[in-house]
Amino acid sequence: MHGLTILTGKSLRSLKHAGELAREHSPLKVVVISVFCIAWLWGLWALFYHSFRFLHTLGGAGFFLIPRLFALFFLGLSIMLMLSGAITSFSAIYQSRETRFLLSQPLTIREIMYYKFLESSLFSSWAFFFVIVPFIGAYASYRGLSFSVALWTISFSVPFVMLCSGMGMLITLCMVRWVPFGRKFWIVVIGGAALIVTKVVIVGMEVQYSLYSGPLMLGKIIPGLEFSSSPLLPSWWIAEGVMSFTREQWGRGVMLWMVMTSSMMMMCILVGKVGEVIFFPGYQRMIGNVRLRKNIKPVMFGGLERFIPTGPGDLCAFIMKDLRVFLRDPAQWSQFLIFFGLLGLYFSNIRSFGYDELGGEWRNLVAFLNLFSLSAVMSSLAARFTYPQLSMEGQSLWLVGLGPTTLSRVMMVKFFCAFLGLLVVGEALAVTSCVMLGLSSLVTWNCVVIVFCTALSLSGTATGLGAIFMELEVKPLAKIISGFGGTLNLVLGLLAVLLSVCPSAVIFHFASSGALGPDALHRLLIYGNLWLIVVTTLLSVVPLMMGRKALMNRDF
Amino acid sequence: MIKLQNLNKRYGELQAVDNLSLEVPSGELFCFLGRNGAGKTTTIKMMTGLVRPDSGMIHLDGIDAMADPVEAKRIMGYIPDMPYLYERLTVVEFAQFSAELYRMPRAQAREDIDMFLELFGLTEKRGALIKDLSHGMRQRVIYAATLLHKPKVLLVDEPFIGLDPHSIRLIKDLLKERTREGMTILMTTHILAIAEEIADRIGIIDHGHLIACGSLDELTSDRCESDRLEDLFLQLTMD
Repeated sequence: MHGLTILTGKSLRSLKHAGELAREHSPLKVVVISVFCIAWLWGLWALFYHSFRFLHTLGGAGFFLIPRLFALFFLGLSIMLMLSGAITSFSAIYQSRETRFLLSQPLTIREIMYYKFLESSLFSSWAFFFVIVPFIGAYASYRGLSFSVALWTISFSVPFVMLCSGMGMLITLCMVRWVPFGRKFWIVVIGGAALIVTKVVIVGMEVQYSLYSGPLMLGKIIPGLEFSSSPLLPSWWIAEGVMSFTREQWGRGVMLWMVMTSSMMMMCILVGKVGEVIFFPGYQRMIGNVRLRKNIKPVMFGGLERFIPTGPGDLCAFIMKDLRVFLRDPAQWSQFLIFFGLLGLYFSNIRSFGYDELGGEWRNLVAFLNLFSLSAVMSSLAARFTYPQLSMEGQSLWLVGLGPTTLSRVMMVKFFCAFLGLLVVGEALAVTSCVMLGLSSLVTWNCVVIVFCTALSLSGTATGLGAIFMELEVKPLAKIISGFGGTLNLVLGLLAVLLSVCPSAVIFHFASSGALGPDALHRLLIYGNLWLIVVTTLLSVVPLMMGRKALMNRDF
Repeated sequence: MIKLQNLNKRYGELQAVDNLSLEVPSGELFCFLGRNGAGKTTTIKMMTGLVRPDSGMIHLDGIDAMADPVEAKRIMGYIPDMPYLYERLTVVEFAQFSAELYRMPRAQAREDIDMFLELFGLTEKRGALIKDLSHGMRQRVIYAATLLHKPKVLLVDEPFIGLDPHSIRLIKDLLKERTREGMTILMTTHILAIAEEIADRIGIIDHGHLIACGSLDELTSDRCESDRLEDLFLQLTMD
């Protein structure tokens, strides 16, 4: 294990420079991230704490439920950790340039596997701690437990995390080694996913949990409650182990900790052994596939490309180029699809949850929460796709400089493409949500107007700031997005969402609760829409004008 | 020192390396030439253990590189065209890391690191983070770290990409000096003038086949009217 010691030592040496590297980030970014982290931890803590208090008010049922909810909570986290471990280990092992470097050094495959196992466990688990800390903290506050609960939780969490991410890593190693990644594989994956989605929709339509009919069956509403209490699951060991310590059942707690730790050690051995045997053949297979893929025609959704209207001129050339790049990059369109697809799935199943049977005040609340979620997703997509557009032209901007066009025209093309993209999908989802909730045409139209204005504000802000803070050096996308301009864009985007959605949400809330008459509602809606126009103008026209000015004054 | 026997590597329909046999004796600088995609890098990667050959044998200083890859890597140094460096380590930390990987005694490693940093003009940059270095400086760091454990065999893939004339001169002199001291070097390059200048022997590979091998004089006198390597190369590799 000489190699593993050296590699871990190297990682620790890198940590020494963490402070120095943190200083390179923009202070705005550091402040925004810190505020979000604190708000997140505090928000989750409050949510969990009040949930425990609520369960306490249920008396016997509450006491019966808490251990089961603990087990369910950790079961959910174990699935998340396993998936995250599988994905992280894939990029840490097969996509990292470091692996190639390590393979050319005098290290055994087993040493490399252990190192990568530690690395992917670390990278896949940080989100876990952002959930578990407020959860256990809330439980400790609710039970009035001492700080020592943190120690027990950590002593269980480390082996739990390694066990789950080890499982994920084994899945990845086996998939890369044996699963055939050809066209057939993707047909099976996409077909399987489509079947699962169809099944979920059909089951959802059949079940229809009515909030007003019949007794509530907890087991029906919370799927997996019974399964999560199986004593064979590591998630049950951690849940029961932590609970045992809080109940001062020391022997039981230690026994479960030993079960967890020995299983983790077994997993380490398994990862080393399996990795030693199947990693290298899988790696070779991967290299072979990459070489073969170079011969495949570079067209994604080739059929779709035929329907894109072509035309002469510089603007069409840019639109075509951006569309082709988008369609041919699975990382781009899959993110777009996942974000909006999940929202689409939820909105189209609103009636399965019985939300359309709720009273007017509640339906109104759900409608605006949906609108807020939709706008927040639009904001993050604008930050991810629209903001870096001009920077990503990077060194190829000399083409624009030499060509008979101007950068302001290019900027406007980027703006209109982003606006149209967000508008079409956003409106479709907003209308689906309103229709499924059975809202009045007044609310529906108001939501349509809000989405139109939000799309305009988000595209304008992202494009304008993208022009002002354009990075011409070739940089990774993540660095462009997380710089000062990118963070400012994200903050302004969220501000645009809040300023656009909240006023109408408040007006309709008071109207639906009967606090506002029809005349007052109409009068306030006029003011609300005037406010929306002002906000949209400020957040779209102003950044675009500033961006245009910045481009005109810029040297290349 | 380097002995390749009947090496084969196929990617689907593409035969990347086709029955390649080659011997490079100790203390020789062998230059591997070929068009893009001819099989040079695949051959080097097979020797480093990054790519497994479909068939054939690789021996480095008598060690079977396929049966005992770790031992083979211990006596070998590899400088890829786009080397990987840990951006968040300083120059001296990266060199120390490399010395530890090759199990060099600490005291000797400290001495050698200072000597190599001096040789490559990196003494002033020893405390700088690698991410802050220019391309040329990074290349110097990788050369210093790779030569630290005094490998018997050095594999260098495209060593002169993006370097300034000073760095090119430094590396050329270094490679010549090391071969004089007994190191065996196998290098690929597209810069034919450099191959002409520093190589003891030259091998030309095309579509995975080794189509010519020998000293510059042997190659040009046997096969080409001109005595220039460029003419010979173009003549042999023209479709």
